[in-house]
Amino acid sequence: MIYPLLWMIRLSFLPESEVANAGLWPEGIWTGINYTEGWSTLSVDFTTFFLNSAVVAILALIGNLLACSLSAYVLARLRFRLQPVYFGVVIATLLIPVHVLLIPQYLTFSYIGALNTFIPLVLPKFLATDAFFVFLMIQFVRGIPRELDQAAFMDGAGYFRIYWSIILPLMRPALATTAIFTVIWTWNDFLGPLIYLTRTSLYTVPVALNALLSTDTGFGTGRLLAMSVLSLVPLVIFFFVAQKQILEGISSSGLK
Amino acid sequence: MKRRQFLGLGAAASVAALAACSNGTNSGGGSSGGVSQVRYGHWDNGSAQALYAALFQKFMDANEDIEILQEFASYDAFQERMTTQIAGGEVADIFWIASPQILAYNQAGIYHDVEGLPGFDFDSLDADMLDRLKIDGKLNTLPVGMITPCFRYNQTFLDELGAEAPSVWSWDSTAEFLRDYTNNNPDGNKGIFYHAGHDLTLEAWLRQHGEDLWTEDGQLGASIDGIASYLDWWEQLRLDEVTLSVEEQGGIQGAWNEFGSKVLSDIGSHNQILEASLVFPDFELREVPTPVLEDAADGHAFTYFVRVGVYEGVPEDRLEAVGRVLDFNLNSEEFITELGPVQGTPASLRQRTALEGTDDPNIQQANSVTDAVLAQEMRPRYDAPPNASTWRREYDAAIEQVVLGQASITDAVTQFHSTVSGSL
Amino acid sequence: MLLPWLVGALGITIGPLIASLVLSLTNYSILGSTEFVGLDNYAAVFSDPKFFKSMSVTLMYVCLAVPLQLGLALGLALLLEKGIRWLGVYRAGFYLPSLLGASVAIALLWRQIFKTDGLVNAVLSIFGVTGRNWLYDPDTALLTLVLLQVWTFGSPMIIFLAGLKEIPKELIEAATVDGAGYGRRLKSIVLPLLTPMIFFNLILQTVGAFQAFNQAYIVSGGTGGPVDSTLFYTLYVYIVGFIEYRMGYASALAWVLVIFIGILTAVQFIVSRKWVYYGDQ
Repeated sequence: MIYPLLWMIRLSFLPESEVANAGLWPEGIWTGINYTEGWSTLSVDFTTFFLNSAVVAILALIGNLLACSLSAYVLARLRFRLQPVYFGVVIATLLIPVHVLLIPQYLTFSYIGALNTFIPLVLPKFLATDAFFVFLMIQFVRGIPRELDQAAFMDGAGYFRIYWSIILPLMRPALATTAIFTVIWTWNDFLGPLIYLTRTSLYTVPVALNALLSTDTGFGTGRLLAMSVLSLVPLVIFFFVAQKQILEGISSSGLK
Repeated sequence: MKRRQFLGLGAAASVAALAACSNGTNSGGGSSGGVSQVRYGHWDNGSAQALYAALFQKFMDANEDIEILQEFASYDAFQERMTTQIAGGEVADIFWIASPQILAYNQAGIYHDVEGLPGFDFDSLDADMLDRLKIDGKLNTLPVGMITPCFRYNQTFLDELGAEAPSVWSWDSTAEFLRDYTNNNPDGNKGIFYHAGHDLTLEAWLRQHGEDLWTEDGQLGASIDGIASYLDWWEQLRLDEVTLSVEEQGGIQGAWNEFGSKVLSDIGSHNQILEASLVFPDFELREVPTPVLEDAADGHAFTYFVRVGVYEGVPEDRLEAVGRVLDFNLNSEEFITELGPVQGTPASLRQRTALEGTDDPNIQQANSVTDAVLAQEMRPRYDAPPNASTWRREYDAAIEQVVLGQASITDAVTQFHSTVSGSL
Repeated sequence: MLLPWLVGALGITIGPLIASLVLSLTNYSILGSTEFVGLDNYAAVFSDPKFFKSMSVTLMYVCLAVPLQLGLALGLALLLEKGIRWLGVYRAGFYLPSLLGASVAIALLWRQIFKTDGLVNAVLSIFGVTGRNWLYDPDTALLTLVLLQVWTFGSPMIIFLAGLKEIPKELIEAATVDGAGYGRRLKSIVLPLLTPMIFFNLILQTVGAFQAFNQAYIVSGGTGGPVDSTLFYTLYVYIVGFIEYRMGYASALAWVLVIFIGILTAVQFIVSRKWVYYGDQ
C-alpha cells in the first residue's frame, strides 16, 4: 500500500544515473543532490512555484466552499422553474470530456484579457462550476431533515439566514470533503495552468515538474522525483488538518 | 459569529486578490513605454530553460528597449499549448516548430514571412540552406539547428572488452558488430536498444534505397517494401536477442536512463549525446553517422532542421525587435557557446565556427557527425504534409503489431501505408 | 442569488458546452477554414473502428474499476469509522495514493512495479509463477490501470466517512438500546442512511472512470498502446482533436459520450429512487 511511496522517496535520494534502474530497495548511496539541483533547475526556483500553487489552491478552496454550498442549498431546497435545467447542466458538465471545452474556454478568458493571471483557474470556482461538489453537497443537504429549516422559517428566518445558520454548519463534513478534494485537484492540475500561464514566474508546481524531465533520454528523473516528494508535503499536512473536520462531524457543530 | 467573520474576510481577501491578478499584463506581446515585448515560445529540457533565461537576461541588459518573455514547456506540452494558442490567436511572437507540425502550422497560416527580416543578419546563413527551408516558395521559418540521425555507442564498454568498432559502418557490418558484442561480453549486456521507431533513421534507410519519406507534392514517398526491409533489419536482431527485448524495454522505445548501463549502443539524433552523457557522466560515448547501405543512392545524406517561426500577427513596428532577438539567438557566438548545440548543430556558420574550438568531447562527437554529413551531396528533402501529423503514431502502431506478434511485417506496413496515404 | 452563477455558467460552462455542440456539426480543424457539415460527424462515429475499440476498452475499465474501488472504499470506511487507535494515520495512509494524482512520478512508479524484474514479478516468483511485463502486454495493460484506480480508493472512502459522520448518533444509540447487534444496525440504519453517499460515489466514479485520461499516459505515454489496449475514450477524443486537429469530429465523439453516459446516469437516477433514502423525504 505505502511501499510505492516509500520507494519513490528512496529513489529521490539516488544519483541520476541510478534512479531509473533501481531495484526493489536500492542499497548504497543517499544523496540530496536531486533536491538541491531540482529546486533551482529552472530559471525561477521552486519557492515561487510553491507560492503560486498555494495562492491558486487557497482561492479555489474559498470559492468552492462558498459557491458550491450555496448552489447546493438552492438546488436541494428551493423550488424554482429553472431547477431541472440547472440540474441538467450540472450533470452535463460532469459528463463531457474536458478537451472539447478547452478551446472555447480559452477563447473566453483570452477575450476578457485574463491570460497569464490566476483568474481562469480561480474564477470558475467562485461561480460554482465544479459540478462534482455541487452534487456532493446536494446529497448532504437532502440528508438534513426539512423540519429544521421549516422551523427556522416559522421563526422568521429568510432563505439566506437558513442557509448560513442552519444548513452550512450541518454540512461541515461535506465542506471538509470539498476542501480536501478542491485543494488536491487544484494542486495537481496540469492542463489549466499549462495553457493559461505561460510565464515561468507564474508556473504552478505541476507545470514546473513537467518542465524538468527530458522526453528524449529521461534525464531529470531524479530531480523530478525529489520535487514530487516535496510537492506532496503540503498536501499531506493539509489533509491531516482537514480530515479532523470530517471526524468531528455533526456532533460538534452546534446542533443540540 | 467567528466563522462568519472568517468567511467574510476570506471572501473579501479573495476578491482583492482576483482584482490584483487582473492587473497583470496581458499575455500578448506589445509595446509599453518605448519597450517592445517579445514573446519567445520553446521547448527543451529543464536545464536549458535556465540557460535560455540567463542569455535572454544578458540580451535585455544590453538592449533596454526590448523585453523578452520566455514561454517554456516540455515537448508534448508545448505543442498542446500551441494548439490552443493558434485557436485563440494568441501565439508567441517567436515560436519553435515540432517536426510533424511544420506544414500543419503553415496551413493554419501562422507564419510571418521572414525574408529580409529587419534586425536579423542573414549573412552567416547559407543561401542554399535557406532555399531548402522555403515552403511554397516562401521563406517563413528560420533554422535553429540541424539534426542528423546517428549511431551512438559506449566506448567504455568496448574498452572493457578489448573490442574494436568497425572501420566502415554499413548496415551489415553494424549488425555483425552488435552480434559479436552481445555474444562475447561477460555481463549479459545487449548490443543495442530496440529502436525501430526512430523517424530520422527510417528516413535515412529509405533515402539510401532511393526513396523519399515524403514527396514534394505531399505524398508518402516510401514504398511498402522500403519500410518493411528496414523493420526486417531490426526484426532479425530482435529475434536473435541482440537488442533488448521489447518486453524488458517496456515498449518499442527503451529509456536511456534505465538501460544505458546495460546496452552498448542506440540509434537516434546526434544532439542527444549531450543529455545522454549527463545521465551517465562516467561513460565515454561515441557517435558516427547512421550506417550506410553499400550501394546507397546518390545524395542520400540529409539533415533535419529544427525551425523557428515568427507569428503572423506580429505588427510591423515590433518586427525589428523580433528580428534582433532571433539574431541574438541564431547568430551570436555567445549564445551557442553558453548553451551548447542542444537543439542540433547551429545552422549559422558563425555559431558553428564558434563551436569548433570546443574542448567538450561530446560536442566534438556531435560536430564530427554533422561535418561528415554536410560534406556529402544532399538531394532535397520534404517535411510531413499537414494531414500526416499523426504518421509517427501510426508507424509506432505498426511496429507494435510486429513485435507483439499480431501481424507480419508486410501486413503491418501495408496497413500503415494505406492509413497514412488515406489521410492525405 | 443566482446571478453570479448564471454569468459564470454562461461564459465558462454553458457557453463552451454549446460551442462544442455547434462545432460537432462542423469540420472545424483549428488549422483551416470551417464548414457546416450537418450530422456527418455523428454518422462517421458509428463506422469508426477506433470508436468501438475505445468504447469497449473504456467499458471494460469502468465495469472492473468502479465496483472494486467502491467496495474497498466502503469496507474500509466502515472499519475505520468504528474508532481504532491511530485512526488519522490509517486514514492518511489509505489516502496518500490519491494525493499523488496521475503524475509523471506515478507513471515511473507503475512502470517499475510491473516491469519484467519489478515488484509484482518478484512476489510472484516466490510462488513459482513466471512473470512478464504486465504493462506491455495487451492482455494485462488495462488491468494494471484498473489496479491503479483501485489503489486510489481513498477519495471515495473519504466521502463515505463524511457520510457516516452525518448519521445521527441518537439513532444508532437507540437501536443499540433496543438490542440490535452491529450487523443489524449496519443493515437497517447505517447503510440506508449512507445510500445518498453510495449513490453519489457510484455516479461520480462511473463518470470519472468513463473519462479516464491521465492513466493512459502511465502505460503508453499517451498513445493508448500497446496496440490500442488502453485507448480510453477521452484519450481518443484528445488524439482526434489535438493531434489530428479534427476538432469537429472530436466534439461529435464527446457528445456521443455525453449522450451515452447521460442515458446511463438517468437510468441510475431512476433506479436510485428505489434504493436511495433521503432524510428530507
